[in-house]
Amino acid sequence: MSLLEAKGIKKIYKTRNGGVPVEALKHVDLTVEKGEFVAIMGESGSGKTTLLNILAALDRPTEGTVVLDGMDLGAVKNAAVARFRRDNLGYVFQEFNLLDTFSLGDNICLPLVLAGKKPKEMKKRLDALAQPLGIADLLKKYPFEVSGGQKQRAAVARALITQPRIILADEPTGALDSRSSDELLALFGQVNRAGQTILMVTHSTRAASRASRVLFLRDGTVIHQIRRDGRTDQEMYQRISDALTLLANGGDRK
Amino acid sequence: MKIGFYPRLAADGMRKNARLYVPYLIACVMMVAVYYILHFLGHSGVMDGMPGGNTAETLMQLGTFVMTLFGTLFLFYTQSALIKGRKKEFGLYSILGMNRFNLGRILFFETLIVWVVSVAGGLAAGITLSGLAKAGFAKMVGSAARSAVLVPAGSVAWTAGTFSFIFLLILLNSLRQVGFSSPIELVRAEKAGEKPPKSNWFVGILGFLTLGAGYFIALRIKQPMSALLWFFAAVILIIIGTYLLLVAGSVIFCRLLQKNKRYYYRTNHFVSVSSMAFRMKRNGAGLASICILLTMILVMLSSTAALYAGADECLDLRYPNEIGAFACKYGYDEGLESLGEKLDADLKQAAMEHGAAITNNATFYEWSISGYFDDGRLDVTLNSLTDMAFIDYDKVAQILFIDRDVYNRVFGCSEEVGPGEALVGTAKKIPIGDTITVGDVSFRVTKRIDDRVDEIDPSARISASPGIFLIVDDVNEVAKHYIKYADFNGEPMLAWFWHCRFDTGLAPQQQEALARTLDELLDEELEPYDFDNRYCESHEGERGDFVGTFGGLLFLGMLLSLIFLASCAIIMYYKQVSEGFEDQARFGIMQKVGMTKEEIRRSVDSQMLTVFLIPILFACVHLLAVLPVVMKLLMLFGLFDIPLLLTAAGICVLVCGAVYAGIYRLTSNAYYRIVS
Ligand SMILES: Nc1ncnc2c1ncn2[C@@H]1O[C@H](COP(=O)(O)OP(=O)(O)O)[C@@H](O)[C@H]1O
Ligand SMILES: [Mg+2]
Repeated sequence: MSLLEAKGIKKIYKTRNGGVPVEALKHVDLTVEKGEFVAIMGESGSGKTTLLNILAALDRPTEGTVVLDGMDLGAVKNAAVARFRRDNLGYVFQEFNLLDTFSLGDNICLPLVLAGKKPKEMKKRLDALAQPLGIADLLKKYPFEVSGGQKQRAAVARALITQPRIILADEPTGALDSRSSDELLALFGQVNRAGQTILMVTHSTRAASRASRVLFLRDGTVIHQIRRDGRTDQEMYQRISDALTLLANGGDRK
Repeated sequence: MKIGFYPRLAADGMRKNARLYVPYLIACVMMVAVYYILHFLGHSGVMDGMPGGNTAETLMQLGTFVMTLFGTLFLFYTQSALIKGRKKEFGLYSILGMNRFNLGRILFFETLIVWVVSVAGGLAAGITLSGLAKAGFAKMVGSAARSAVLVPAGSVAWTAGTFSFIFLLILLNSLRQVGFSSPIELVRAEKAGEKPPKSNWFVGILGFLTLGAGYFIALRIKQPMSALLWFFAAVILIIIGTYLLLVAGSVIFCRLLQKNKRYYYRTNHFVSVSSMAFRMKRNGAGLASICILLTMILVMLSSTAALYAGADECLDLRYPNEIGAFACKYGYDEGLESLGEKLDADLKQAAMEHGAAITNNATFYEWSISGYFDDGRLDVTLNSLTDMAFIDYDKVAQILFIDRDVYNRVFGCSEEVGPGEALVGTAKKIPIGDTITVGDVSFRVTKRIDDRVDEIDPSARISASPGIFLIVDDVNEVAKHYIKYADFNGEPMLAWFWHCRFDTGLAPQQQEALARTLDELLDEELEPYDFDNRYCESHEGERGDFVGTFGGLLFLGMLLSLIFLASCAIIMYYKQVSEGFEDQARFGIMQKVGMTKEEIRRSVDSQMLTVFLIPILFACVHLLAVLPVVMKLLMLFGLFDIPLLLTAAGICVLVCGAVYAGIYRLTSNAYYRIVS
């Protein structure tokens, strides 16, 4: 059985003051196997964030079902959604979304504190993560004192520390310079090889070329898909670029 | 009519920030209205003819002055809070190509609008309410108010003038604030990364010590009048201590909690404690201001309310009988004793002709001499009194000699006092040993009669310098010892005091009339003798002055409390709104990270409650610390009723607490509306 199975997802945003409803997602079917590294690409407004939010239970679909590891997200009660997300999902945001009132260390530990873990256990997990992420020396610092790349690494650490079933990332490299982006992608590759499932929305061909599978979204549907099938990053990069050019020229090759 | 570009821009800016400007305008209107009312009551002569009107007028004039000072401070505070909130907008304007001059024009029109609204609105409200205020005041002092509402041009002009000047200062200040910042600074003002709060142990400990010192001094003050300077020192120390402690101490406290891992890393504490540290760093000063305002309100209201409620008690103490006459002459004279007897007989005769049935009569004389009293010894030499500037005022005492026979007769006793002996009584706790020496004569103290002093002179407790009564054998012989002492003007220090008090059973108005008649009689009879002082008063005649004074104090206290409360409300409101905007983003993140709405709400509630409770708790402790001094001050007015003051304080705490809780509810609703 797949780790994540989304079937027939449709999302219509009703604007508040009687405007035209927006159909952000038409019909999306998506399955993610354990250990996969999936990238989702698409133009601005194609529904990437909407899809990710639905998969992360931050939002509910108008139609369709999402099943994570055998659990139907639609069946989780509203009040329990936050807890469910905390225990099962790791979310990495484009804007880091670190709390400025916490040191990096406390930011990373926040989900564990919410889960009621013991300080000792927290320290163990934190140390195990901080070392490979290269932020061991920064744990006492506050977000405004460190660089964007360092903030993003802390955000990744926060997503990983609960040992979630799947990591969801929305343009995690969007706010980073190219060097920090490369570092972050290397990091994703590393945790993926260690068995972590990752689903990442990105604009960057470079970022997508690290994935094991790339989905292309347009107007609320998946219009194309590329599998790595043993290709190198370089070859992936080439294929993605070709696909993007083709799609930009209006091609619709499903 | 076409409205200019800049006025429109200014008006638009204010409309967009209505959330901030509406409360500001309301506060401005209130300040102007209260200023006008105080000026109206204090300067226009509406209180002429009311009982105690003159005292009340002076009080209101004082109130006008306090309003000017406080209004300036407070409007400055709010204005800078407003400008801070709009720096981003101004930055945007300047990036869009406006120079400082253009920005200045916007600010000018903005201040102009605020000025027009507050002065016009405030005057309108003030004029409408002034009639009501006058009637309310008249009711409090128990007199009828003249019904015509008059609008004195002087008060209108003063009010408009004062606030025009304040707004001019405010305009200059905001021009300075915007003018000195570069556009980039303006845009960034809001977003600048905030440094984490650091424990400042030095400031924290300093605050703790300052507050402690303030309390210590306040609690040690014995005589508020002579220690007025100390009292001010205590007040200032308490204020400074509150600021330092709330700004630094609270952060230290949060940091200590964060160090305690078992406490800190709990769902309920984690978010609360860390955001409290930031909250206190930003809001410590605001909380301290709220705390000080609350303390002022509590002290002001409880003392004036106690005085007002105890007015009759004070009056009874000061004027124990319906009629009281007094005469005093410096120097020794053989004929005084028989003069006293004649006066007594004539006054009573006149009173009876007035239809009085004389009861509770006490007529007696005493010889008085003042000096520096220390260690059971009264020094009456010139030096001791000319060096007044350097001496302890608490030790300036007045010795009052009363003849044993007079004492026994008038106060119904049968005391034995031999030559060289004395019965000693005093209303203040003055240590006196076995002997007491007055000048160069010593007396053996055979008995203390402290419990009878109230009967001899009920106001002995009120007088600033302690009076010591000595009941002696043959008082005139004793007095002769002191003829030789003279003060630095060469005047004799020995004085003859004569008292005559009695009840009449007459109606209040007749008592007043009788007192006037007797006063004239006294004048007439004492004319040839060159007396230094003489008067006859009635209990009823003085009531108006008492009630007027105390009513005026309470009225002023209530008006100022109203303004202080409104200021508290504004400070809290701005705090909540600015925190609301800051926390909005934070809560979004927390939800995404996996905090349930429930958990967030719980943590916010506990933080808000703490922030809400801190000022009022501190204010209550402050109140407790200064209550003893307040009590002593009230004693100067003749109020000795400690339970009454405590009751008044208790009620004030409850009422203020309730109003404060109401304000808190309203302002925290503003907060919740923003974050959700
Ligand atoms: N909360 C919302 N309310 C209404 N419309 C929305 C909302 N969020 C997104 N949309 C619309 O849905 C479409 C998809 O948005 P989004 O998922 O954010 O795209 P992407 O992340 O690919 O740029 C857009 O047309 C956007 O305007
Ligand atoms: Mg997006």
